[in-house]
Amino acid sequence: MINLSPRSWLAIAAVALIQTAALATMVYGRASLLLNGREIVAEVIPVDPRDLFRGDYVILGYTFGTGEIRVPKATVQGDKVYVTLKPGTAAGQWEVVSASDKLTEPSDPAQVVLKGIVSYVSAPPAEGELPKASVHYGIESYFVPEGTGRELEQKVRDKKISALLAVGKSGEVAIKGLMVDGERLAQEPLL
Amino acid sequence: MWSYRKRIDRDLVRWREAGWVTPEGESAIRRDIEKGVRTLGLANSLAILSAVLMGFAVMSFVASNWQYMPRILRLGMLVAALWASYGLAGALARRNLEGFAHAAILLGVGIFGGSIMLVSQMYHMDGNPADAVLLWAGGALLAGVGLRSNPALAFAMVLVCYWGITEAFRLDTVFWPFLGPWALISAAFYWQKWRPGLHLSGLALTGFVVSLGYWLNGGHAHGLVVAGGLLVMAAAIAGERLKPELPALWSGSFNYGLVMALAGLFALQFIESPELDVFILLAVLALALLLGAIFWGLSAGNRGALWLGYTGFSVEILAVYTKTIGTLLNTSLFFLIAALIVSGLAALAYRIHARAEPQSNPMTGAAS
Repeated sequence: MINLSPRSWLAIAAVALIQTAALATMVYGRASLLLNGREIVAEVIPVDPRDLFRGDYVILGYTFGTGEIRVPKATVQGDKVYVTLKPGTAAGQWEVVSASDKLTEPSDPAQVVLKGIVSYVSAPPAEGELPKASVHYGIESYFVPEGTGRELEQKVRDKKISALLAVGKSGEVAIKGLMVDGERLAQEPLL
Repeated sequence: MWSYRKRIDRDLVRWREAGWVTPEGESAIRRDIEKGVRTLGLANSLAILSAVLMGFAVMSFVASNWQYMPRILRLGMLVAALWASYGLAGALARRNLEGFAHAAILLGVGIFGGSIMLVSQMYHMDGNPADAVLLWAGGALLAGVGLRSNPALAFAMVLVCYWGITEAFRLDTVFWPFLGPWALISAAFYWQKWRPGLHLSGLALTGFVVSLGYWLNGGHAHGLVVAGGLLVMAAAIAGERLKPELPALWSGSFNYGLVMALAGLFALQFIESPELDVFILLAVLALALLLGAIFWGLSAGNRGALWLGYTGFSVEILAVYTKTIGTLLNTSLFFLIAALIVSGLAALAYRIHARAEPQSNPMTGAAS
């Protein structure tokens, strides 16, 4: 081995600073999205598994996530996709209008575009039809303090749960909080 | 290291008896070896292990999502710990405790990963976990290059492999972008002249090439893997002739090429379930390749190839036996063929050995 020792304080400071900056960028991006993003409410269906590293969390399912989204023809698993939603009949319900591989401004201001990743494309469709896909938006996990996942589940059993989401201009989306029967569960600080 | 010590111990006695090394020279060599062993001692290994344990403590702290402390305070605590780890590394390096310094750097890299997880948790980010792993690997590579830390570089390679594997399975295809970070970290290993790191690179690339056989052409591209492995072996042999001053590079490449070719041949024989005649042809090819590897290992002094050749030969014979038992090929006929091949191998080994070391005892050379 040649001399590998971290002797330079400058190099040490640079490494620590760049790593801190990377973390700060992550925090800044999320905080500004939560602060400035358009607020929408969406119905969810929770379950409770456990992430090895990130504590207890509740899995949130969305009606506009699974199964039946018509995506462009050449779409494969892992592709980025922009899904345009329009408000449904009841509050918190959203219906898929279309899905595209490019970001487009919706014609109706009531509509909203979410960026997602295609997690599964079903078998080739009939002639002239677009393939159906499931889409993952990155808003499917809600982390709760250790041991409180079940409690939360008990609390919300048989009640209508929805997620309060913040949607950015380029379709990125973050969870602001959970709502039970239209009431916000707990206000989490931005930082 | 251990086997090297044992070997040099034996050789030193022989060299002194032959009058090539003076007793003073022998004791000087022994002192030098002892010094080398001491720097790689137990204390440094324990320091690295304690850094790993502390990293897990950090991750469990994040995982508990402890609610009695505001999230931003938790993140602040982790960032402070990150700075403290790197500061500690600098202080230790200045006191010439290099092993401990590298452990502290590794701890800093671990805390960086824990902080990424904490931020993801704070904002319920559930995007693509592989992206977080890549960011972590980037931080490890930065620390490895910036602070010249081999353990951090090795950890970066491990993270990149994890990233590549998860992405390949998520996208359900070959994940070519893996090669970018792989090349960067390999270049850093080369720059550091750290041989274990280069072996890690070789291992990772071998795994990637072998995986191509399972992704490309609907999962039936093992022939390509065999061809790739043979190509690497041929290049290593050519390189040995053209640039003999880099023996470790050529012998290492040869061995990784051999592993690729064997993995491909193994898949062709036992996963693709070919017709019997094709299967026999493939088995003969595999055995010929292994004989060639043993021959090369003996003639070029490549112990790794020799070891791979003997092990591969046993595995191949065992696998062929398991596959053919109860089928058309008569088991006893198979044993007869195998016995003939092995006796041929023994005769060949004896002749090569006799040619290489005509004056010494033929029973000791081949195994060492």
